[in-house]
Amino acid sequence: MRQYIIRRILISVLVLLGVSFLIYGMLRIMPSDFVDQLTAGNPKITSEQKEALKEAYGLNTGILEGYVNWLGDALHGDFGTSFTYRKPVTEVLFSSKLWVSFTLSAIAFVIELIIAIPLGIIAARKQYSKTDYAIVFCALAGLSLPSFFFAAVLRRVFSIGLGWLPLSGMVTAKQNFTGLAHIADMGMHFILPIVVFVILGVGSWLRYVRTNMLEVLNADYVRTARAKGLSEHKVIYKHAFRNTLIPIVTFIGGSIPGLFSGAIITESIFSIDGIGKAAIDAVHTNDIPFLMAYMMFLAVLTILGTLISDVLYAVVDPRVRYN
Amino acid sequence: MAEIQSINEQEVIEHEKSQVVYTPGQLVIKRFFRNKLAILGLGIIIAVVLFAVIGPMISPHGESEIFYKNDSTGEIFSGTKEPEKLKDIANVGVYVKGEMDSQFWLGTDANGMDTFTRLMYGCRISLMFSIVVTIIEMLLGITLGGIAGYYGGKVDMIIMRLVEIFYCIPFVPLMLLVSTMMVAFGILPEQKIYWLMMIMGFFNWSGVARMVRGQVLTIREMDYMQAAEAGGISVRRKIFKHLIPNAMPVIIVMASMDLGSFILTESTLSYLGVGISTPFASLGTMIQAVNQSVILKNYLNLWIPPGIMLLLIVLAFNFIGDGLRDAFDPKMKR
Amino acid sequence: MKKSMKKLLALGLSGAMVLSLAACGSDDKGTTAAPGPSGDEPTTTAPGGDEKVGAGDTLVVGSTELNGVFTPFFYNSNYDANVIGAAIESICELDANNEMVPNLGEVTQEEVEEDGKTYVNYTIKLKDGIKFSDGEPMTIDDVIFTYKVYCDPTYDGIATFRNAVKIVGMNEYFYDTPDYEGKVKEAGEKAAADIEDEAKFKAFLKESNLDGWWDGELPGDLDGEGMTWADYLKGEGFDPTGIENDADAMLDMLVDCEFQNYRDGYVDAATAYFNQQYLDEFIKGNLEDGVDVKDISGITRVDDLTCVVKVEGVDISAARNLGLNSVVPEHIYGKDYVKGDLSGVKKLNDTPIGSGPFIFESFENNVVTFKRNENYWGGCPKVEYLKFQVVDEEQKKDSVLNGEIDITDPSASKEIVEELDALGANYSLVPFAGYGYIAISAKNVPDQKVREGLMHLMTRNQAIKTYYGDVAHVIERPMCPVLAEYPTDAEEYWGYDPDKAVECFKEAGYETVDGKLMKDGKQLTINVGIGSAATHPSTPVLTQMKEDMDKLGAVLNIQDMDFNLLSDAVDGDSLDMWVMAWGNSTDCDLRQIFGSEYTKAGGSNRTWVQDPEIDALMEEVVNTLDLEKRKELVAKELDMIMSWATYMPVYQRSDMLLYSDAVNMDSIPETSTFYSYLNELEKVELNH
Repeated sequence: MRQYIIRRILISVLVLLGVSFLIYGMLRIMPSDFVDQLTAGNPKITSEQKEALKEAYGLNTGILEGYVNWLGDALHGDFGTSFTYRKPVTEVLFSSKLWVSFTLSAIAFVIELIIAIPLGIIAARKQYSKTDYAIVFCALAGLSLPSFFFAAVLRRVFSIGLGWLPLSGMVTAKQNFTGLAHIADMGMHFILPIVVFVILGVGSWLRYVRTNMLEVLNADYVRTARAKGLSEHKVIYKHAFRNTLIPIVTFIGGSIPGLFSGAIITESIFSIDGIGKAAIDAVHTNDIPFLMAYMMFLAVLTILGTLISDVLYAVVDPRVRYN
Repeated sequence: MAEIQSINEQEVIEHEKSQVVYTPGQLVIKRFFRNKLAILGLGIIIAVVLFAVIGPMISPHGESEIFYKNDSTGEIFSGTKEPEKLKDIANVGVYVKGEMDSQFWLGTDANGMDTFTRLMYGCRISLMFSIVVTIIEMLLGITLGGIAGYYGGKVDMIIMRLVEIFYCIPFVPLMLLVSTMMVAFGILPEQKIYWLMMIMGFFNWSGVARMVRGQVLTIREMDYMQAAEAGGISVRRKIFKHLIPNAMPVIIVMASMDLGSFILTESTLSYLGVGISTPFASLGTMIQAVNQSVILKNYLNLWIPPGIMLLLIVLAFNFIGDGLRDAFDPKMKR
Repeated sequence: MKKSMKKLLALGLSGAMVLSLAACGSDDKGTTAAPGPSGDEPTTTAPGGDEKVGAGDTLVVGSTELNGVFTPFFYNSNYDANVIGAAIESICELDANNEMVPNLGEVTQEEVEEDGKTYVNYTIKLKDGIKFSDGEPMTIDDVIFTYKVYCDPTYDGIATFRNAVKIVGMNEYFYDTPDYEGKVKEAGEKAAADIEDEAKFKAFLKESNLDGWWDGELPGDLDGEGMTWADYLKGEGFDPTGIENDADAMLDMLVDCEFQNYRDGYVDAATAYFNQQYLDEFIKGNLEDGVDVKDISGITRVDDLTCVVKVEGVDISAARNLGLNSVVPEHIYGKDYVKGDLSGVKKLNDTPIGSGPFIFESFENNVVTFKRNENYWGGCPKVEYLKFQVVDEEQKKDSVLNGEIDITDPSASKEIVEELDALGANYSLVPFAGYGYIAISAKNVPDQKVREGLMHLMTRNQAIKTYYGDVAHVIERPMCPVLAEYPTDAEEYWGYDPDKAVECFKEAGYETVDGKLMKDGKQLTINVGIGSAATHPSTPVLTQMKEDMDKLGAVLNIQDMDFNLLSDAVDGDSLDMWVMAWGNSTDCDLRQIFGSEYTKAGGSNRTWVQDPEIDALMEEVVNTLDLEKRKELVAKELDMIMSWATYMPVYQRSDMLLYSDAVNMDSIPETSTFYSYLNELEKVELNH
C-alpha cells in the first residue's frame, strides 16, 4: 500500500511538470502581456521604460527560458510576486481568500450531503414511484441551469423583491459589527451563495446515492436478508445502506480537496473575495505568477483528490488490492 | 433431401417466432419505456429539435435582423428589408425591448432583434454545439481509452498520464485563455463556434478515456472474453465484436449526460464573454440577459423563455441518460 | 463598452500618475464628536432592516474591484487610486474647471536663461502647519522623497514622472553617473565606430531580425500577394536554392543581402541599437559600486517648506506633473529606503499613510475601512468611518437603492435614469471627458471610396438614442464636446445611405459577380473589432452594417474581443475597423491622434491619417491663443479629418454618480468631470 502511494506520488510529480509547462506556455503565448496592458494607450511611456518593466516582470525572456526560471524558483518554494497584487503569490493564494472559498464550499458540501443521502435512499427504495420522480426531477432541475441564472433569480426574489437578504458583498459595510454580530452578518451574506452551491451540487450527489442504492438493493445478500424475514427498515439501513457507503465515502474523500478551488462565477456575482474571483481577475490581467500558482494548486488538489479516493477505496473495501 | 431440410429450418424459425423471446436490445428498450421521466425527456428533445430545425424556416424574421421604430409615425420596420426608412434620423431608433405582440411573439431584445426567432436559432446552435462536442469527445476518449485498456503496458502508462494532465488543467481559466488566443489568431466569428467545439471536445476526452479504459479492463477479465481469446479470434473481432459492444451501455449513458452538460458549458462560456459571438444567437448569450438588472426586473420575456428552454433540454438529456442507465443494467429486474 | 471606457480612463490616469486626491476646504468647523461605533452590539439585525446601529457615522462608497495596492507609487487601477486619495493628498489638485489649484501647497514658476538655454524654476511651497495623520509635521523633505522614489533606478511602477519632467540632473541621478553627458557621448562614439564594423553590423541585422522585418515564417508573404523571401532574394541577385525551408540559413542570406544592398537604410536603427547597448552596459554596473549620485541636482531645498525644481525647457505640463504628485511621510515610507532599494517602500503597499482626512484601518472581506483623522488640517471629517466596498457593476444601482452603500458610480442608461427619476433618487450626471467612435484604418483600407462607402452604412443616431436616451448624445466631429473648441454647429458628415454606399463601392472598382461584391477576384471583406459586444451601444450599428453588407455581397466580420486584445490588435494595425472610445481627452491638441508622425509603431494615429495640411492646421491650433480664432481653425481641421472617412464619432455619454437617501445632499459639492465628492470627502455628511 505504502509503495503504491509512493509510486503514485512520483508519477504525479511528472504529471505536474507536464501541466505546469502546458499552462506556462499558454500564458506566455497570449498576445498581450501584463506590461502591454498597463502601458496600452499611454503615450508617455517610453519604449525604454516599457522594456525595463518587462524585465522587472520577467516577461522579456523566451518561453522556455522563462519556464525554467519559474520552475527553478518554484522548486525553491518561490512562486514569484503577483503582478496585480504586488505581493508574494503564496501570500495572496493562502490568504483569507482561500479560507473564504473553502468555508463557503464546505458548508454547502455538508448541506448537500445531508439532503442528498436520505433523499437518494428514499428515491431508490421507491423506484418509478411518484416520490422517486419528484425527487429526481427536482435534483436534476438544479443541475440544469447555469449558476449565474440561479444567482440572478434568487437575488431578484430575496434581495430586491423581498429585501430579506443582502444583494452582494461579504459584510454590511454600513455597520461596524464585531464578534458574534460580525459572524452573523457574514452568515447573512453567505446564505445566497451557499444556496446556489447547494442547488447546483445536490443533484449529482443524489443521483450517485440513488444509483448505488439501487444496485445494492438488487444484490443477492439483500434478497437473502429479506428472505430471512428481516424488517424492511433493517434491510435498508443495516445491510443495504452500509454497502452503498463504500462508493459514497470514496467519492466524498475525493471531493474534499476540490473544496479549496473556489467558484469563479458565483464568487464574482456576489462580490466575494475568494480564490475563484481572484483567478478570473488574474486571467483578465494576465497575472502570470498568480495564475501559475493557482493552476498548479488546483492540479495538486485534483491529483490529491483521485489519490485519496483510490486509497479510501482500498481501505473501505478489503477486496481491492494494489500491487 | 434438401427440401426436407429447408422445411425443417422453416419450422424452427416459425417456432422461434411464436415464442416471445426478447433480444437484449429489445429488453433495454422495453425497460427504458417503463421509465416515465425518460419518455418525457425523449419527447422534449424531439420537440426542441423540431422547433430548432423547422422554426427558422417558418419564421418571418432573421437571426440578426434589427427592427426600428419611427417615433413620429409609430411604425415598426425591419432595417434589413426597408433600409430606406432608416434615413429619418430625427425620429428613427432601434426598437429595443419591444413588447410581445403578434409580430414579435416574445418581444424584441436589447439590440432590437426578435427574441422568438433568436430562440429558435439559439436552440439550434446550442444543440449542435453539444452534439458535436460530445461526438468529438467520445471519438477521442473511446479510441484512446480503448487502446490504453486493451494494450496496457507502456501505451497505457503514457495515455493515462496524458489523461491526468488534461484532468489537472482547470477548465474556466483555460477556456478564457483559449478564447483570447482564437481572436488573436484571427479566427472569424462565424467559425469561432466550430473551433470552440473542437477545443472543448479535445479538452474533455480524458474523462471518457478513463471510463472506457476501466470498462475494457473489466470486460477483458470476464470469462466469456477469456474464452474468446483462448479460441484465438482476431484482434479486430475482439475489439469490435466484444469489447466495444459490451462497453457501449456505459458510453451511451455518459454521452447522454454530457449532451446536457455541454449546453450548460456553452452558456457559462457566454457568460464569461468567450462563447458564441454577437450577433449570433445561442441559449447562452440569450440567457445572459439576466445579468442586467433592468432586464431581470422588467423584461421577463427576454430571459425566462431561454431559461426554460435550457432547463428543459438539459433535464431531458439527463432523464434520458438516467433512463438508459437503469435500462441497461441487467441487474435491474424490477 | 462601459468597461473599455473605464479602462482607458484608468490607464490614462494611472499612466500620468496624476492623483486628484482629496481636497479640503480651509473652513475648520471644529471637531464634532460623534457617537462611537456600534462596538460589540449584540444585534443581528438583518441588513436593510430598520435598526441601523451607528449607520449615520459610516459612509460606504461602492467601488469596482480593488487590487489592494494602496500606494501612490505602484497602484494600477483607478479604483485603488480613489482609496489612496482618502489617506494621501497631493500638493495641488484640479478644480471643477480642470485648473490646478493649491491644496497642501502651491507651485509657482519662473523662466530663467542660463548659458543660452531656457530653464524654468518651479517653486513648491507647502502650507505651514500641515501634519500627517501620525502627528508628524509635513516638510518639503517629504515632497523631495516622493520625487526620488519615482526616479529611483529600480522603480518598476508605471508612473512616467521621470520621463515626463526634464528635471536638471535627473539622468545623472537615475543612471548614478556624475558624468552622464560624458557617458552618453562615449556611447555615441562607440556606437558610431561599431557602425563601420561589418561583423557587428551584420550581427545587429540578425539580432534585430532585420529591424523587425523578418518574421521567421517560410516561405513568407512580403507584399500580401505571395512574394516569398526566396523570391525577394532572387530579385536582389542572391540564390536561395536549397535553403528555402531553412529559416536560419535564409536569415543569414537575407542579412548578407540587406547589408550589401540596403545598408544605409539600417544605419539609424543600428546606431540607436548600439547606443542603447552601451548605455545599458554603463547603467547596469553603476549602482553596484555604491551610490555615486545622492541627490537630483535640479531640486534645491530652500527651507523646511520650500524647494525649487529646475526644469529644462518650457513645458506646459511640467507644473501639473510636479504639483499633482502625492506627498507621503518620509519618516514612514523612507525608513529603510536607500537609493536602489525600494523594498521598504513596497512594504507599505497595502497600508496607505499620509495627511488625508481619513486614516486607513484595514482591507478585508472586500471592504476597505478608514477612520477619520480628527486632526485633519482641513477640519475634522463629518463621518467617523469611511468604507469602500467592492460591488459588482450590475449591482451598484440596486445596492444604493437597498441602502447597502451610499455613493457609487453605476453605468447609466436611459432606463436606469427613468427608474431613478421615478423613485426620486439623487444622482448627478457629469459629461465624460471623452467620446466613442468607430474608426477605419486607412492603412488596411487604403481606398478612400471604400471607406466612404462604409461610412454611409453606419446608423449611429438610431442606435444611440434608444440605448442611452439623454445620457448620451450623438456627436458629429471626433473631439470631446466638453471642450470649448468643439464646433457645436457641425452637421452630419456621412449620413446613412445604402444607395450612396453602393455607388462608392462601384467607384472604387467593385462589381457584383454572382451576388458578391468583387474587385480583382477578391470579395470586399472588412474585419471589425469591438469589446464586450453583447452590451455595447454600437453593436446595433455593426449588426445593421453586417446585414446591409450581406445584401450587397460584401462581408463584415464582427470580432468580439476582450478590451486588452482589441487595443493590442489596433496597435498592431491588424484590424480594418474598430469600435473604441477615448477617455481623458482634456485639450484640443489632436496631433497624437491624427498627426502623420504618430502613425509609427506605438503612436496613437492608428487610422493612418497622413495629411500635411492637417498636420499644419493642428500645429496652428496649438499655437493659437485666441479662443474664437482657435475654434474656427478646429472646425476646419475637424472637417478635413472627417473627409478622410476614417473616423466616425459616435457619442459622448455622461457618467453617473448615485447617492443613497442617507447622504446629505447639501454636503455634496457641485460635481463636474474633474471634481466630485471624492475631492471633499471630509465634508460629506450623512442624514441622522
